Amino acid sequence: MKLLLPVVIGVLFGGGTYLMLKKNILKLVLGLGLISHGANVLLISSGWIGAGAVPILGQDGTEGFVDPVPQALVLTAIVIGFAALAFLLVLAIRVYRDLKTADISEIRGQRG
Amino acid sequence: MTHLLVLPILIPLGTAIVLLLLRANPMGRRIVIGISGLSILVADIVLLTSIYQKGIHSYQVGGWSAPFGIVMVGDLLSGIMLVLASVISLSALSYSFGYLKKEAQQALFHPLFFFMWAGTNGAFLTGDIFNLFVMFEVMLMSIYALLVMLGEKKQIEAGFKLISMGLFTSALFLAAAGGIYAFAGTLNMADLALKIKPHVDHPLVSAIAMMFIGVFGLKAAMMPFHFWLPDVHSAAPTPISAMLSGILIKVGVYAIIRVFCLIFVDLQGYFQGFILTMACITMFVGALGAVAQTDIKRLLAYSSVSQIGYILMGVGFFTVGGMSAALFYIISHGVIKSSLFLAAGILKKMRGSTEMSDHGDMINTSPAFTTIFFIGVISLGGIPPSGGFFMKFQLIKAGLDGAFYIPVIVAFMVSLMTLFYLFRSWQKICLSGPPQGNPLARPSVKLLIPVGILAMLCLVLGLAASPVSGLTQAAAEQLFSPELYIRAVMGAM
Amino acid sequence: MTSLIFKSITKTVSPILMIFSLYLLLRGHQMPGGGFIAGLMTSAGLVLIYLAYGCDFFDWHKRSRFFYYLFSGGLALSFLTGLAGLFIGGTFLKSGVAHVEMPFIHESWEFASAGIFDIGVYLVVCGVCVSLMTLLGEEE
Repeated sequence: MKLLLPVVIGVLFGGGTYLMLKKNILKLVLGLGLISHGANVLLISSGWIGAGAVPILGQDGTEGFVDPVPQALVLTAIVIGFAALAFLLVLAIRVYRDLKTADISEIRGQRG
Repeated sequence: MTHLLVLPILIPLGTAIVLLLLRANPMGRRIVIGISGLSILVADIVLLTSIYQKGIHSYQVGGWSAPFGIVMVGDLLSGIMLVLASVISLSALSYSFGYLKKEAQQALFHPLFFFMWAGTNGAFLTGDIFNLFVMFEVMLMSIYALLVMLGEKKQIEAGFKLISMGLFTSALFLAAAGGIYAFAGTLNMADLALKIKPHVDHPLVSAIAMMFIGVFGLKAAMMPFHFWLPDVHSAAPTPISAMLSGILIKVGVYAIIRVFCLIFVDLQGYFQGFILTMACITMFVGALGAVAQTDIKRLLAYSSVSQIGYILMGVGFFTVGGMSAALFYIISHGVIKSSLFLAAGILKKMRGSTEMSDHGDMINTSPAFTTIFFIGVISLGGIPPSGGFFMKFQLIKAGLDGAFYIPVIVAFMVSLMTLFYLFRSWQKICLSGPPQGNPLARPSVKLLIPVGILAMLCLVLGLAASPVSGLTQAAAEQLFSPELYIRAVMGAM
Repeated sequence: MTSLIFKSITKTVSPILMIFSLYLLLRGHQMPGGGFIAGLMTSAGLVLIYLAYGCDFFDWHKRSRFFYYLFSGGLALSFLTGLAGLFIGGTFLKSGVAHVEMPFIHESWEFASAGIFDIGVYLVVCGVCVSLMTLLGEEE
């Protein structure tokens, strides 16, 4: 269990990087999504204490909770990542419609 | 407790929401923009004087006290940046009325512009690492939308680049924030400064500091990360180009200053060589790129990369003189570069192109434009009566005082290159013979007025250099005594 | 996608999703839940309807103005809740709590001003998600 989170983070970052190196524009978007989720899990893991209880008021005892702060932070980060990713998707569709291609190397050099 | 400190965030945020609701009412929007734009400027100036007289302000959002809740902190550095942001934003706003002709474009542009303004002001005022991230994102999200708003092909390409870069940077920022939280158990900057201090030799601390340099360097277009800037700054709609180069890349520099003068104070010596080297390379690469450009907006964008190098050099000295010079540089470069970008926008409006070969003979077409552009050129080139001379002079003096001879030599050589490419562009646009094609129309007065005001400010900065540099000197001294900041946030602990 | 099975499942599932999202919205102050999650869940219900019955079912394209004002209004509501904290003493985003005696069931219900903030967030998320969906699903 202790190894699970690092492995997940590694797989997310690695898979994200692999997808980002592909030429397809949609794979770039998916890769960025994976990387931002990797960062979210990394943030969660910074407040992870063994098998702690859910940090909700009204449960018995004050010991053995996981740290709630990273969870609150991650919620914010997920919202922001969601919005940015949605915007990027809209833009990717726009690029595909305008240029009739999903190949990044063909999209480059459209300036001017 | 005074609410003055949150006004620079609340007014633009509220204005943006009101503008969203007033979509169908152009006249109402104009009135709201005018009133709140001016009131933000007034609030910023009042805040700066209040900080100057009474010391650092802090504000606890939601009434939760310091290490637990979110704090807003205003010191002289934030105050100066706020006033600079409002001056540049106001000129870009008034310019946008003449630049964006369609009502529908304005209905989209102005709310986003105010969201961006709120995010920028928030980034300057926050005292919390994670809140800094959130404010960065508020700012960036608005920039994404503003950048691709007009839907030109190169804007969409640049937008795609910027958003990919932005998403990657956010992930890196989050990872750094997670690392520092796992290490110190807090995200409040003042509290972090206290908690990091005993463990400064821990390798994780320098690793996190390096990650922060990466994140903020990406935003500020520091050398290995400058690749996105020329495309984005040249493709953006002109008022946004002026904002991007004038104030938004400085947000990255501001964050570097804040982090290294508060949290990683003891690592300053460790990173000094790295920052100075990168600053020198940034200066040189930017200037080299600018010399090769034929498009005036791309030239100015590369020049921004080069000028960021100068600012980072001043920061990298880590002396009071260097920091003061860097702050002066931030102020004058912000004013000069936004006036030059807005001037380039006038050229675009006249001929539909920013290629220098499409323009010429501006001295007969519009002497006013020629004068304004000339003031910008001599200011950025660093010729005496302008603010540009003092910004370079102070920087080089600070370098010589600290015995950093190599950076000073590089800076000197690069400023010769700067003079070369700026005068070449001015000569091509204003002095060379009239271009082929249709005869030129006069540029509209609506666009010339905001540019003229910024150009006047360039000259004022030169004539009134001593009060401004007195202010930056005070801000630099405040930055080098971080215990003032910590005491203002944490109270008497 | 518009198979009969999918359509009939949507008929049952999406009302349940929406009611559950309201439950999440209202319990969000002390328990897991809240505006963002509830908004996403409502949008998920709407997405289901969109996928099963197509965009003509609700005429979403003609109602883009409604969703625009939905999210601006939500934003305004959240902002005003934050601002209220500033005017009623305290600081920006200061939240207040009142205990309201419920009629008939005789239980005290904890009403927090953060709840109004959450409703604003809920409206924003719904408005944005639906606008986004119509934008992405637009035919050429």
